[in-house]
Amino acid sequence: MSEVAFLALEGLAKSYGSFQAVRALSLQLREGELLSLLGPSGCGKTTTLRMVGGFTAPDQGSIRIAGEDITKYPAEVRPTGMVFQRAALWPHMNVWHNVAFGLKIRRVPRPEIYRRVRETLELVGLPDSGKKYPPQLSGGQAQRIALARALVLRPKVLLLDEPFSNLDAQLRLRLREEVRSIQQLSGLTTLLVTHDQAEALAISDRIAVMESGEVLQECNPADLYTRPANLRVARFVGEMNVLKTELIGGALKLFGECARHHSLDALVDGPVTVAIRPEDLVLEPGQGARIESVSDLGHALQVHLQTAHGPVRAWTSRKTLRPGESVRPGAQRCLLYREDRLLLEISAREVSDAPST
Amino acid sequence: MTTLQAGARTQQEKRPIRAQLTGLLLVAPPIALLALLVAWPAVSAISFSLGLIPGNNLLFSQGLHLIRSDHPTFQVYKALWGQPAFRADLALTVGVALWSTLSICVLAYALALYTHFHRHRLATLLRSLYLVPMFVPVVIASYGLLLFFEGRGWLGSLIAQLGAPYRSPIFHQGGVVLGQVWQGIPFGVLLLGAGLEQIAPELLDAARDCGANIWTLLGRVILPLNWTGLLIVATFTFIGGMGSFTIPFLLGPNAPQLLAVEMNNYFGSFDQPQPAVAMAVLTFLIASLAGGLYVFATYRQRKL
Repeated sequence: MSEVAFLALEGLAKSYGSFQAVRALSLQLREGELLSLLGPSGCGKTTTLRMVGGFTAPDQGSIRIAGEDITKYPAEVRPTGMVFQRAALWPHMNVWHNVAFGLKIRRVPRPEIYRRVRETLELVGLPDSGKKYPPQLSGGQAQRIALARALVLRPKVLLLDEPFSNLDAQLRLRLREEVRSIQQLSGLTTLLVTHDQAEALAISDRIAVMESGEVLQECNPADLYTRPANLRVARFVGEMNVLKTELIGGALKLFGECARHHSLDALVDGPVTVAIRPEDLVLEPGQGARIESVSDLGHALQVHLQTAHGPVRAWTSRKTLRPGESVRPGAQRCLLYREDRLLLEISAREVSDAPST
Repeated sequence: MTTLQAGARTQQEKRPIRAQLTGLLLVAPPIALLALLVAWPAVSAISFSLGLIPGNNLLFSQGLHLIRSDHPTFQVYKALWGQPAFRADLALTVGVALWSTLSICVLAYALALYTHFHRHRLATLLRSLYLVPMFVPVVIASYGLLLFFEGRGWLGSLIAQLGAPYRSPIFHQGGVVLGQVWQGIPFGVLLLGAGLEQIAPELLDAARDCGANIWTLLGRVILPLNWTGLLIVATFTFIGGMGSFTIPFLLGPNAPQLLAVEMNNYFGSFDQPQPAVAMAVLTFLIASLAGGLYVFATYRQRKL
């Protein structure tokens, strides 16, 4: 990818005293690509974004945009545009002046400013909001104006720092789709920081999962969900059952049965940690798992079961229930799983996800 | 049921009246105190300066060169304005107050910005040091400044050792400005610093992201967002400067003199309370103009 990388971060590191916020982080984005930095609070994703934006100086490493090394450039001259977690609109300026601010600083001719501000406000769907002041805008409108303020300068790279996190659920869904649409329309290379896995999975071309200042896995959303590189990623992305069990004679002891899989052949017997997603478990009539409770998620039923390995969550659709069958607390069920959806870890060492059969 | 509801309604209707009365009773003491200590003396001083001398007030009726009248007259003000010395005093007072205000605003803003945006040792030290003048009584500070800046003081002696000429600001208007700056800096930095704390860091980052350099950031974002605080500092410093006595008395020039010192002379040494009160009324009016700015600033802040 390096020969086509539009934004390239190489060996970026940043420490605050003894705390290492980012450790030797390397990432590459193609032109027009949207990559999400996904991780829990304090994992270093915002620090990384701020280093790209020029607000935080890296201790080590380099940042290149379109081949140009911008590591030493201050924020005000970088070809980046940033949208912050809070809209950060200047309250003493109306929307028009907020959006036109950067153009005025660049001494763009007045007719050009007028045209670009108008076009950008139309692009974000608020063409008539120019005279409004920030306190008169809703949260979603304010974030759109913040996006317009970044877009109007035609940055080479758009930086989004959890821009939807302060919005209510409905608005967040709508706005993220709109932002994705605008990003694709304008072909902007975009780096998004989020701790919301659903958001990252929904709008990213690629996702880099971060923890403790490092990238744990970097791939497309589908692979990240179905083939997490290790348990740390698996735990963070989507719902996951993590169960302690063991390998006996090359067979995996799980839900009351010992199953021999091809992928287990090379492994030595002993304790093993197994991870499997709730939707990859199937409830069948039988014994081995007792239903503790059932909660309705709307699109599915979430069934909480007690097994020999501890509590397990399984999702089942109403449509898959047989006529007359119901899932009631206290009932016994047999749990089935797909071998290719299992993630195994022996001790602290990640092994592999089992190959598809 | 109906009777019960009606009873409850009457109780609810009574409650606001009782609440209003309680509220009025609570604010009555401070309002009465304000009327007694501020409004009444102010009204009586204004009427005295307009020639209406109360017969039962010995302090007002026994001074020299009293101008008495049955109706309000500006004779006292005309007489004052006719004196070149008074005009020079007034010009000096307003000039010193303006210079002090300007100096304090600039220095306090620079200090507030520096201590707000920097986290290294010097900034940490300054954050503690700038408050020191607040804990030193004005009279002590004035003598300290006198000993340091006077012609034969520490600085003068040092410069004399180097063979360079030195013109001490002490006993000139510069000395008063120096004293006012010393006294006013902590208040200015505290208030402006608090204002800067209110500015979300993202607002500044967003401006930098749009291409604002430090001066654009200061002029187009920080100052407009902190304008009210600056106006408040300027207003209070100016009003304080107009009425300041100790610093002008100890560090100021002999002629012309600042109005507060001159008022004291007229009232005590010259036994002419009427011109002294007229000067006080004029000082009050000029300060009121500045006070109007403060009211405007707070109104604007509320509107935002």
